[in-house]
Amino acid sequence: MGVKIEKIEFYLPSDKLTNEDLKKEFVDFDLSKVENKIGIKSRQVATKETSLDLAYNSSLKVLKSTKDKNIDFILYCTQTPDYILPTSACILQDKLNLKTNIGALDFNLGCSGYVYGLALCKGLIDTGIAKRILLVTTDTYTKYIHKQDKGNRSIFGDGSTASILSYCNKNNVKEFQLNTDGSGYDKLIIKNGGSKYSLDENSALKMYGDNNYYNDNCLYMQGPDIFNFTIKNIPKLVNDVLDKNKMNMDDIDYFIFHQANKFMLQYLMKKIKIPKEKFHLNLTETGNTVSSTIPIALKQALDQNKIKVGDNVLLAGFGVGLSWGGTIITI
Amino acid sequence: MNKKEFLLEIQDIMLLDEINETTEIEVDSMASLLLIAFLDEEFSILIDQEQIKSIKSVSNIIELIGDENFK
Repeated sequence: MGVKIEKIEFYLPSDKLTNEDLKKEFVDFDLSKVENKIGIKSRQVATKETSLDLAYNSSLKVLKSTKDKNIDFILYCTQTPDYILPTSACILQDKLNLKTNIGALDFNLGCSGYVYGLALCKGLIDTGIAKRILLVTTDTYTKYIHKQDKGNRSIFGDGSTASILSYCNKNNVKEFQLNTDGSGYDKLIIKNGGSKYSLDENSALKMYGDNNYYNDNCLYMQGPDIFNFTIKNIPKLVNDVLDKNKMNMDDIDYFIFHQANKFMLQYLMKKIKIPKEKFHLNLTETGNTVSSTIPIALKQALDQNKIKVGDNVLLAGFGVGLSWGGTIITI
Repeated sequence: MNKKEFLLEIQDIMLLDEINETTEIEVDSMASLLLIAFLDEEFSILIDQEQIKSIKSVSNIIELIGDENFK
């Protein structure tokens, strides 16, 4: 009894924000730093679309590509839902004209979301609750970034992915290591707008880093502390995932980490001693799309023949929460 | 790593023309990531946002590392 990833598709919103566009808004914007160190030239931003619009489009793509609408569960990962309630996954079921005798739920995770989604899929399929799951990741962080926050505007992009996970005889989605440390909840946060703090139209403008501005209605990220968190935890995560699967580094054909930024990824690659040719690094035209970076990377790696049938790929997601997790999949 | 090698690394990270232990520095966001990576790699020290904010000169970084940790 096992689980396989049948198909992955992604959809990005139509509007593009280039580094040149940002340079026009911010005189001190360092084009070469963002391109060379952060590794991003442009990102797609959802100005007209919502998270659900993006999710609908990525789901439609994956369902068309498999020509099979027989889905019996929708798992929908987002931190930027269209509504506080109802559940976005329920609306998506209707928009896609899927049958009504299926399960559907949202879960709120960021950059670890895809790995957690795979873990949930494995649980649902292994226990016989579902046989063929539509796993969606979708976010529009850019709607929550202050216009004067050039740091986060240069890093984050919007996007959605849809994967189909199904029952198979082989165990292609292997063992997981999942981790949580809520003490770092305020390292990446949108403080206002939930039930604890209402949106405040008079919220004070605050400065951080290199003349970046935000207020408590907007997204705030303490970049250096998030970087510390990854340095401290991701090498151990990789070891834990390998141990759980009784594998070693040589058994892994390719590594796909959450595509946060080029500098962080290159540092982790060096620290963990992953050969460059086995390490995915591509966020040049998407930016950091939160829970969508890993499935986008998987799709890119498959399309570019960087991974082939039978390869073992180690996935690692990490970020907001703080939350991190990893697994190994066989293509 | 000895102090001379350390100063050359910090000069490179901070993009300075000249450097000595009393040189005043301003750690911007990119430099803070480079500094975190450098201190982790060379000295196995993790510094947080508050410690980065407290850095006003090269000597502040030396204090964080501790004199005893240089060769």
